[in-house]
Amino acid sequence: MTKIKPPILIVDDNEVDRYILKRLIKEAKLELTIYEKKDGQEALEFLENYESNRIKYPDGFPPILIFLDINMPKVNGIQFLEEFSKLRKMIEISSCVVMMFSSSEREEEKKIIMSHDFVKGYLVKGSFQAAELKEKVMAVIGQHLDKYS
Amino acid sequence: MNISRKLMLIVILTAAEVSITVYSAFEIAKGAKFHQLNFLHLKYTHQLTKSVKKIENDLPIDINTIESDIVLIRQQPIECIEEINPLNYAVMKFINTEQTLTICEKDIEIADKTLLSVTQYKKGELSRDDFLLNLNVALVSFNKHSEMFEEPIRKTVSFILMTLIPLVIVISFFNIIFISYLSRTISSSIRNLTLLLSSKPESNINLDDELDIKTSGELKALVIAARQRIKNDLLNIENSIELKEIINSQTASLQQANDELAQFAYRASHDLKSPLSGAKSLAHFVIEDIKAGDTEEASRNALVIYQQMEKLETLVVDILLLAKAEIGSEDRDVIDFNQLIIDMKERLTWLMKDNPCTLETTINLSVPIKSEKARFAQIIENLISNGLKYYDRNKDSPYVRCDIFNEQETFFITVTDNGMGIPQKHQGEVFDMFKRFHAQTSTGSGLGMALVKKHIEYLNGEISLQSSDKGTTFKIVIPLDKLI
Repeated sequence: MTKIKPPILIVDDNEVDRYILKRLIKEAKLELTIYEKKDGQEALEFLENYESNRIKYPDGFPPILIFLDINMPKVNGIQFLEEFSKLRKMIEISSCVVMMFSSSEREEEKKIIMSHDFVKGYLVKGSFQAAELKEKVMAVIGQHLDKYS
Repeated sequence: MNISRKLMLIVILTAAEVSITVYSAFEIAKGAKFHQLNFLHLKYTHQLTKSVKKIENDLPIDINTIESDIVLIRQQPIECIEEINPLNYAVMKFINTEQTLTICEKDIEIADKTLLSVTQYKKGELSRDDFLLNLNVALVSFNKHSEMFEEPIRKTVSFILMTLIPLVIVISFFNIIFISYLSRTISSSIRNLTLLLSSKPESNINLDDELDIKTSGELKALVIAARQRIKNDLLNIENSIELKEIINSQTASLQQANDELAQFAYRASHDLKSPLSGAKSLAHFVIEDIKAGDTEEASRNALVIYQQMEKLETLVVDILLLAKAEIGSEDRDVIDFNQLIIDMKERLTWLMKDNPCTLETTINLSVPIKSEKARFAQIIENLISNGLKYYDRNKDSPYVRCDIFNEQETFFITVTDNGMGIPQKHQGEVFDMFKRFHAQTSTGSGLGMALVKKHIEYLNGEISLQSSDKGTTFKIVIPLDKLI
């Protein structure tokens, strides 16, 4: 039986940060399909093309987890969450949750972000290792990993 | 005439009226006293007459009674003379009744003579008949004087009555008329003033001129003082409003500066932390890769660390430049713009190497520009490098053009390109710190345009931009007087 890798999406304008996250995922031995988008707008477009992407990636769409940066050009993380909460009401992505992935620890931003019930975690860049990442990811999408495996 | 003078006049007139009235009363009373004295004179003369009659009837002479009678008779003319003051005398002289005084004096003289006769008789120097004769002569004189006295006194008193009473009446009358006139003028000028002040403001009537014409004296002074006071009060109110506005605007600008600073601190710390934490993680991977023998991945990541550090360096340098832009330097010199462009091109080699844009610069200055070279180098380099970075791949001959020139009192720098342009909704944020609009192509710190803006503000200049999908033009205008 071929193992289906659960799909996730990384939204970050910083290539280095995306590389680091991917590498930590690999180190944590999490078997995932990883999509990358460079800002909130690209990510939203990716999700909005729901029907065509479902056909394009029959087993890997929609992602079950989004790692989301905050400081990005065009549509930033906070704006993305606003749009995403609207999108969740329209298309079948209610099982998709968000984990923040940012170097910002501003309390007022954090408050707004965590007020969305689909935001399940907050990772501060550079402050965690592979083991910690695995623990957090498993806590959020562990049941999916079981289902997929 | 002003009100206080008018009132003073009334006081003086009234005082005169009262004093004349009182004086007349005294004078009339004096006239009555003179009549009384004359009556006493007659009475004592009559007593003496009776004593003389006794002597004539051969009764013994009561010399003491006679002497005391004469002394009593003599008393009235003395009192009469004492009563007459210089003013009375002047009046008497004026109406020819001054003989009253002469009568009195004669009377005293006769009384004195008679008293001498009494003394002589007592000493026996005078015979009884002579003494009697003297007494009779004196009696005739006393009676005659009493008769004569009446007429001038009556005349004088009636003269006083006839002159002073009409005078009092005239003065009273004048007073009444004058007081009523005065009260009318005072109340009418107050009424006029009230009307004038309560009238609706009309543009064709100058209130100041009207007040000047229609008021005088104390009312004018009152109006002037009131106007001054109101003006001062209004000025105070205006001042306090102005002050409040200044405080409000300063508070607002302080608040804005504070917000900007907080925003800057947040963004700067974020942008400083980002390459640092990236490099930290990458360094960790490099160690692991070397341990695992994957030197290829390790060296790749080491290169990324190097790039991260370069990025960090750029950012730190830009932050320092931004901080310096707010501080003036003494380092002012005539700027060689040709050399400045050559130096800039050298610094931008990395960007121009693989860039399809043509860069064209023109310099057209009629006066030497004296300023801090570093500011202009940073302004021009930032604008040109932005133009080079954001060229439009879909256009055939991308270009960036920079013109440096002056016209009369103004210095201009324009930088034009036919690049991808800045989206309309972001044009207001171009000069904000840490703003980048083109994720894929952006490499800078996001502080470049903020730095340009700071330099231009420091030089009292202005920067404007026009942008569409056809390209972007930045236009900088700086007054020349800041640059000479």
